[in-house]
Amino acid sequence: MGSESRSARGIQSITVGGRLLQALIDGARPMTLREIADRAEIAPAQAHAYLVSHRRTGMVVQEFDSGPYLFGPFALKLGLARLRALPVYGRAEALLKSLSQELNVMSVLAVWGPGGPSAVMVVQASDKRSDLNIRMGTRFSVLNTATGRIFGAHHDPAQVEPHVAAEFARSPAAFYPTDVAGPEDFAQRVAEVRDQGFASIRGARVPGIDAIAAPIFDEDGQFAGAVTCIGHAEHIDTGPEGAAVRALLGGAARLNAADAASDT
Amino acid sequence: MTAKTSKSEGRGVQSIEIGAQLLEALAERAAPMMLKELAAAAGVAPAQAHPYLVSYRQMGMVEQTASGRYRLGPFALDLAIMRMRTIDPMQLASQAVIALSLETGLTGLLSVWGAFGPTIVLVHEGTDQVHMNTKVGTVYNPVTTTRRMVCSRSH
Repeated sequence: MGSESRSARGIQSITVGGRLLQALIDGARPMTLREIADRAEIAPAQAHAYLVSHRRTGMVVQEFDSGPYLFGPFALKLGLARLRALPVYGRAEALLKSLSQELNVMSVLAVWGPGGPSAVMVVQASDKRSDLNIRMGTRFSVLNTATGRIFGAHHDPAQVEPHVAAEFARSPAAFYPTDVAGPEDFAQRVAEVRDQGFASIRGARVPGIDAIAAPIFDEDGQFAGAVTCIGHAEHIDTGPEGAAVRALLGGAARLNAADAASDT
Repeated sequence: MTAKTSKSEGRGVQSIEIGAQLLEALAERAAPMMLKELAAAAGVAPAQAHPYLVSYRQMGMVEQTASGRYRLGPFALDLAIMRMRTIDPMQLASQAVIALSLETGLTGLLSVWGAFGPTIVLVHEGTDQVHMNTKVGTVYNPVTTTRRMVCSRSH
């Protein structure tokens, strides 16, 4: 520890270690030592020492000796602990369970993660018909999903706008069909989502599969994520007076009120 | 740490491992913690823990509640989401079946519920080759086979 460079404000090697983790996030796939070092702008020999320690803690793993690095079990443990530590997410879990049970739909909690809206909790429909390949970590399109449009309506525009632009720019366009005409049309739609308090999609992503989504807020009133119900058209009435939307909005409202009242 | 492991793994960065003890302590306790409790749980002195937490807070790995307690921050959730995208449940199940087969010397099968019922997706033959009509794609009758136990457990 004697040689540790330590400013009054913090510990430099923690910051450097964090930059390497950020580089591995940004790469969005398993990366070699050299790729991580290049992206983090750290010399490979120095990066190696950090990765040795990150590997000892289980933060990163290699599937074979000198193979590329990917995130390990410690990374999962820390994130799941965050979900438990924030009251809003604890209440969201109870809400997902009751919605899935009551409506026989898949319920998902999504937060803004690396690369956009990401599922962090998934509860299957009560009949366990799991023909949707949504699981923890799944990313949602901001343009084309009910979940994504909640982020379009409530998440930081500085993050959403470049993401939306990137979605419009994907090619070949035929692989990424959308019924949104352009950024102005999208702005119009998310304004409607904000007004009516929820987003809905009917069969746009998968024929016969409908989805409704609502925002949730933490104890400071900050937007914390989206709760979404996804299911077969016969189980979800996407109309504002339908049972599904009423259950979702009622649950989200109780969750938000409880969170505002909680004192942490 | 023995000289042997440090030789094969190379030198690490001690602060990363000390910092991980603090994060581990936060993860073990779901409720936000004061500096003193957190340091005690991690086995480090509060004065030593503080600069770590300053750096972790700058990167969003930890955050402080209104009452000054520490909890894991949004960066921790980003890391977890990356891990979630990496884990393939079928790959984990395959590894478990192969390990079980090697340990017992018996043939191990992995099956999923397909359109026609329980369907084998992996066969790992045991040491004592039994000629069963069992191969990838075989569909079992869920009522008459012993694997109904597996079916009822997984549903």
